[in-house]
Amino acid sequence: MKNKKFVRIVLIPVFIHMIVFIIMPIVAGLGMSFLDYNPLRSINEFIGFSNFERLLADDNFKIALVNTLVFVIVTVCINIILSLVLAQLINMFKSNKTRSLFRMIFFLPCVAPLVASSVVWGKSIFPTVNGLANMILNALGLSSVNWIGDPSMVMISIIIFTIWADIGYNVILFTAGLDGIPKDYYEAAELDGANGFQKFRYITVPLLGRTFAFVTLMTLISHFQMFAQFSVMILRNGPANSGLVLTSYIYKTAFETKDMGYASAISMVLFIIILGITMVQQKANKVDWEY
Amino acid sequence: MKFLKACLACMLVFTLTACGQGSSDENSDKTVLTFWGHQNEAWNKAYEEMAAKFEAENEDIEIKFEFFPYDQFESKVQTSLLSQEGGADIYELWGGWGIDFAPTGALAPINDTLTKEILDGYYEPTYGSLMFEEKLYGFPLEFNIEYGGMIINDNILEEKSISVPQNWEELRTAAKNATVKDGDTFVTKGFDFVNWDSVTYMFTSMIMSQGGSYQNEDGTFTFNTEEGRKAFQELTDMVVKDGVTDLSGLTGGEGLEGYQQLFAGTTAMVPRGPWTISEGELSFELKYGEDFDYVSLPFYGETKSFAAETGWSLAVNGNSKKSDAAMRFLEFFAQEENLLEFNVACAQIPASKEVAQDPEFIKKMPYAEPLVKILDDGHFVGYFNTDTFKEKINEVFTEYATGGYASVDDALMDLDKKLNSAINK
Repeated sequence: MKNKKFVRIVLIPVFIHMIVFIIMPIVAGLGMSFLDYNPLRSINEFIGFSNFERLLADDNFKIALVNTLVFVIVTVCINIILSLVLAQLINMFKSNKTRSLFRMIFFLPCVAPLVASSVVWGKSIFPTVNGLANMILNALGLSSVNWIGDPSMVMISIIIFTIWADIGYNVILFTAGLDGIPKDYYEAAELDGANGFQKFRYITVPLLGRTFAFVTLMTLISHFQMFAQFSVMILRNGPANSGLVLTSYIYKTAFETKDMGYASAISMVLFIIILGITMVQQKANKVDWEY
Repeated sequence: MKFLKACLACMLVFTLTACGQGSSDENSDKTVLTFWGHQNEAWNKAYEEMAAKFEAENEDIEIKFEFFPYDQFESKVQTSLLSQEGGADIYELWGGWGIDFAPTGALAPINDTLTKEILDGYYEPTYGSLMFEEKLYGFPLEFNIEYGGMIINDNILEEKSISVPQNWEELRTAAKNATVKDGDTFVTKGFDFVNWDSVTYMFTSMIMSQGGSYQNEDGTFTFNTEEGRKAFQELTDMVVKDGVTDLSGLTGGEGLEGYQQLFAGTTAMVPRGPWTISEGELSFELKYGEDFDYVSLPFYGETKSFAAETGWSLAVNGNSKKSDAAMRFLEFFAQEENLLEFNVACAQIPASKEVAQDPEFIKKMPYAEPLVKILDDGHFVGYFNTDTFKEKINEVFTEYATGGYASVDDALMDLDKKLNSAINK
């Protein structure tokens, strides 16, 4: 009984935090999406679903939605595949020190703040003239690329940067998951004559189900919310809005044009997308074996 | 359990004590004014020096400064003014924000004496956006001028035997002659006017210098006029036909801004304000008057006329209980010798006509001469959100220059439509 009281007391601050900083803002955002809300006005009119109707006719919203989906799908797929392969390769080293060294190398970009990394990539690696990326291309005899000034290249550049910046976290999670799989299965498979790929395909991948589900879900959610690189690395959403995503459109609408009612409606769409994907993903990833 | 309760009680008392702490001046004889500004080494020092001088004359008042990085500053000012609680007593305020905040009652109106002084003796573009219902809600410090001056790279012009252009035709010729390309890549841009501010202010000035206008009396925009079409086509031709610059200043892709490229030796002429000079001297270690200069930017048409928006100003919090003391600080600033000292220390073009025309000012800031000569020709850009204004003009300009419209008529018709729906909705 005493233990229960203690648990309640410990949990109260967490619940208060959740209510104040998570639930209340969501409810406030939902309420705001039904208003013609501008913080500079004292009276903000109730306009029902008008903000949501406006979304259907808004070309910039459509561009932002498509760009967001392209960015998330491509980046998450590459991220998961690459980090799983890297984790498997790292795990093949026998020495713990070597494994730790590689894990640390891949994790280093995650330690740097995304805003700072975005500035470095935007100002030193991607510039057309004197940018490191073009210097390397030129040294290989290839012509320069306008990485963040050409509408067809903007999203590719951002995806490359995001994978570099984010992959280390998933590599750590996958290596931890791989460490948890009992060695007996591999030994048994070896006795049965399985090769490296077969072991990976028939033992590692299925037994990594829980880690895989967690990594996919967290990566999906975080990528839908990515903002720093779109805000810092490219100039004003890129040429022809090629780098406009939902998060940057929400920021622009709320804080530059101060149309917070409409920005809240866009936020609600993003919230529903993330919620929907999370629910589907949770259902689809129910696993029997988990490490 | 008793221990836990005691801990909770202590935390509660501590929290309530912290919440209940009043301003630090409650127990002293002095009125302490808080001042919020954005971080800028030279400007911050100038404010502090002005405050020290003010405090020496007003021993009952003390000014405490808080300076924030620019990107955080705007949101901090916005949040504190909208919440109508806390914040500072005096704000360093970008004049354009006055359009948003003055109608909300978040700013205190400037007293009648100072208002009269400003209306009579300051340039109109510097206070236009601070006016609301015939009251003034800020004290303008500077004239933010985006047209009329340009920096030139002396070494590039000398190497090509190009003299400083005196009229529009000479500017266009000089820009073409200074441009050097290696295939599709620029070695030297002749005249890089493509940036967030310059396209808009060159376009509007080119219309006005032909005797035209872009805004009607009812506030709606009409760029699709004879003057508008001529100006827009001229600007586009400089990018597309003459190829003296590209669109990277609006689309991105370059590591350096246009004026920084001039200092780096890859651009010959760039229309920008004199605030760029210190960066050339300090960051690029160049010599003003030797490596680069600041000269007049010729007008396109016969008339000297240009649009200008606001500048930095000082405003008093409408909810401050110390607004009288804060207003005294603004009045102190308005004294000619103080304003002159401040404008020079901050390398600002003065908002006050008296200061701008003071020979002492040009003596101390000789590079400001091309701009001071034309300040009387400046007109307030208009009472609207200039960010949206610039965004739409830049959007249509980029699209027209990349072949997105069949004709200049189509482009400007679309611009009028976009502006009238975005700004005058």
